[in-house]
Amino acid sequence: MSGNNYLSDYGFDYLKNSEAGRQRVSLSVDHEYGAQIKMLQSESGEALFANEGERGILSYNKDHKIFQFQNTTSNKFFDVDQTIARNAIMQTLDDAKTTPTGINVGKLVSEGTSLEYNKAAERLHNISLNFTQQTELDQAVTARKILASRARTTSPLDITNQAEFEKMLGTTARTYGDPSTAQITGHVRAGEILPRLTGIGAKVEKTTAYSQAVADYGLPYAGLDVRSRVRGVGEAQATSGIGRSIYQNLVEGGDLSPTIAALAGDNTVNNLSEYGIQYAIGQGQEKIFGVQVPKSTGTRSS
Amino acid sequence: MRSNILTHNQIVELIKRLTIGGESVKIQDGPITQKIVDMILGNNEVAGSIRRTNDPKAYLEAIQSEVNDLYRKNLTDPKKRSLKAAKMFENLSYIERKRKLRALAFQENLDLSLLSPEAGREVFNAYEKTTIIKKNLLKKAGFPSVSLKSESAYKHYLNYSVDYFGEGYKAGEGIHPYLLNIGSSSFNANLNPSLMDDISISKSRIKNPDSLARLVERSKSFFLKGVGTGVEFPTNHLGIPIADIGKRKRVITWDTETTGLTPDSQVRDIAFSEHYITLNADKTFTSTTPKIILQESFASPLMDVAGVKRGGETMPLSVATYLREGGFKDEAEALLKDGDKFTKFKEAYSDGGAKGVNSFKNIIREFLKGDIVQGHNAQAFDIDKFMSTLLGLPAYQFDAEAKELVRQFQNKIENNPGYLVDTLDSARIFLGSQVHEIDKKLVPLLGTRPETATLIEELRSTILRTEEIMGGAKGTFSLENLFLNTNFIPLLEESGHSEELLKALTNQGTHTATIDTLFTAHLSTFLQNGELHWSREISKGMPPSGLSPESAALYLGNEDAIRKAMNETGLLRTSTEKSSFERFLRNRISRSSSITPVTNVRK
Repeated sequence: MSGNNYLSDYGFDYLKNSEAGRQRVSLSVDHEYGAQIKMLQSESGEALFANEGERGILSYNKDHKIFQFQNTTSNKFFDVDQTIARNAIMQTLDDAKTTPTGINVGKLVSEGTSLEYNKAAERLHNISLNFTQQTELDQAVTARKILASRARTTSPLDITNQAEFEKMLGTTARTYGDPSTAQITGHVRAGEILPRLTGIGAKVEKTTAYSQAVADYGLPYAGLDVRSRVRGVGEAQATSGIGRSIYQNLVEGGDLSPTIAALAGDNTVNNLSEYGIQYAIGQGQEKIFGVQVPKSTGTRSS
Repeated sequence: MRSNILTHNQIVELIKRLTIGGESVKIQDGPITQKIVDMILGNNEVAGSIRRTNDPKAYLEAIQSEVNDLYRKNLTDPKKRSLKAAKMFENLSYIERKRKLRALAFQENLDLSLLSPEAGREVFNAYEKTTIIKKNLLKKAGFPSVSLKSESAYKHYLNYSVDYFGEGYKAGEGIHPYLLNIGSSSFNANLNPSLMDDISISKSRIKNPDSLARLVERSKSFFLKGVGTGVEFPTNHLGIPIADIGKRKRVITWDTETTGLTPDSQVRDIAFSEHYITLNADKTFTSTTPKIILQESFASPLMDVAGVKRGGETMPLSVATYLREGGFKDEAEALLKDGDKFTKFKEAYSDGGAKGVNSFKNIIREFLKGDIVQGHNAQAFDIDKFMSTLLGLPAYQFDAEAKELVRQFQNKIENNPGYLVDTLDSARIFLGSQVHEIDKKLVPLLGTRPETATLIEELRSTILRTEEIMGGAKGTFSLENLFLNTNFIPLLEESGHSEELLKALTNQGTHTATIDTLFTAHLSTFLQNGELHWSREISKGMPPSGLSPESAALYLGNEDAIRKAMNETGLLRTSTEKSSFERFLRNRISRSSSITPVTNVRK
């Protein structure tokens, strides 16, 4: 996003009130604005503009770890006062958000038609946050707020309540899974899971309800944005067959307590991926899990 | 200072070890002209089964038979298709497969990702041998001298300097298709090239010989007086034949915005403007002011990967974009002010896309009503996206009328060389020619030492590309670079910015279909009249960035003479004053980006 038109409240707070956020913002600075914020010279006293018609970009240089001004006429970079740079970014974000007054009102008039605009908003050259990143930021902040609002003393779920336990483990599959199989792996593979997250064509806060449910059940990674968490569960689901074999072997071997062993129904073992656990088989151990290792039949050429 | 553009000296260092047949390769010391093309193509040279000559028709036929026919043949063979293509052809009837193949063959650039790696390599090898003729090119023209900033920090893209109207060009015969191919191809080199294989050519610009042939045909009508910096002479880049003097032509300008750049992305916004142009007896043109006649938006689920959160609710990105660009406060206002349009937008691609197909049919009918249809990069991007979106909608398969309209549109394009105009081609040909004036003025002044070559190269880069655009410099002939680095904005202001334009600018920047359509229409008119030229301010006392200390010293020691010589080319902007309109528009253009879920990757 270049401007603030599509910026969410959380996006705005992040950009203005965190150093990492401010480092994403770049501003168009012409001579007039440079004079206004007292940024006409570099730290070493060089003039930033050769004439009043020139302009440039104030932005953070990741290599040098400082805010710099680039004169876009000469393409030269100058080190500038860091406090002035930070303040200019914060002030511009504030001014861009509100209805402009005084020196922030810009006006173009032509043949009886006029266009009024917010000069501060036009000065926001780039905020280096794309729509997907902002969506993830919004979801993560929402999820963390839900978590923070919950009492820390919440009792863990009683695992002997099998129906409720199964419901907990099915949180992601129920919300974002394939209705016929309750599996989400296929969707993740096909890249189909993403568009579902914001609720196409409807202003439904499905994502908030999901984050709320994850937090209510005390499930792990409840502070993640929804896409990352659902994806994590989907990826874990891809190897869940291995976990299932381990679990069943343990049950059959009598290695688990009766309470845990009693949970060995399909609704439980199929959804252990809700914990985001991925399984890997040790080399040479494939047979234990009934996995057929493909063997090369062709000849190898060097 | 920061620059990832290779300097002239760096290119010289890069190719020191490069040899072909034991002979070292030199960096090109002048633009490729028709004369050099004749040397590259030779006469009666045998290439594969075709006897190659410098005849443009024979060259195009060789490309057709050895590259494009091979591409089509490989695509027809299921074993030679990639997984992506296999999915595309899955469950299609014989007729549908034929139709699909025709649509793919119609595309501006061949898509090698549709072929298996081996089949793709086979086509690309044929392209290198028949279309680019790499060995002859490096031997006769040298190594490309123009280095462009790349999105990747690890690669440098190199281009040949091309003079389309240089030595050997014969007026009335048109531009040789080989020059058009080389002018739009990018080259890349390993950091220490020593063999010809270390020089690679972009795989995404394998142009369709049919569209090349049409451009060659159109170029036969160009006015040569408008070439170079004789900017007061019309160029006739639209290629209106002299036989059409006095005939009023309806020009449709169009632009699309899409959900992204991936192959499955869809059209989400489209706009058309119309204006009329007449070629006068004195070889000037009279044009009316362009007016928007159609604008449609399409809600695509591909946009709704992201949402915009406002007041506790998340709105799908497609809807948020529609509301913002339309100037609506919320959905209720959009429904109240133009409920039909909003509903049409929301339902366009739902339920098989029947409503979307209806909209596309209306759009094709408008296309068919134009004498000239123009767009910027439309040939390589917009047409392909328009077609792939339409043909990808399930409802299209059951709509005979839509198929018939597509057929009529394709026929009109194929049979009328002047019907479809890509203004990017025009800008590359005419504005690209202006740049040679810099060399013509500065080489005699500064000589040919390495530091002067570096200085001239950097001055040329400065003139051609601005760093002012969000995310850094874009392609030389991209719309935003042309808007900011030429006299486009002052010309637009002089021509009287219409009420329609100001209204659109209230809520939109460039990279919206409406603004880009209007701007492209104006740009085309300025270019047609020979008014458009590079116009770049260079700060006094500040040498261009990226110079060696020797070149910087050379600049500062000769600054006045250099500025005077540059001034004579007409490409140096001398006035530093900017109107409030220009200041506003420069800001707006430099900060605009197309809206997709993933645009604006951090600089």
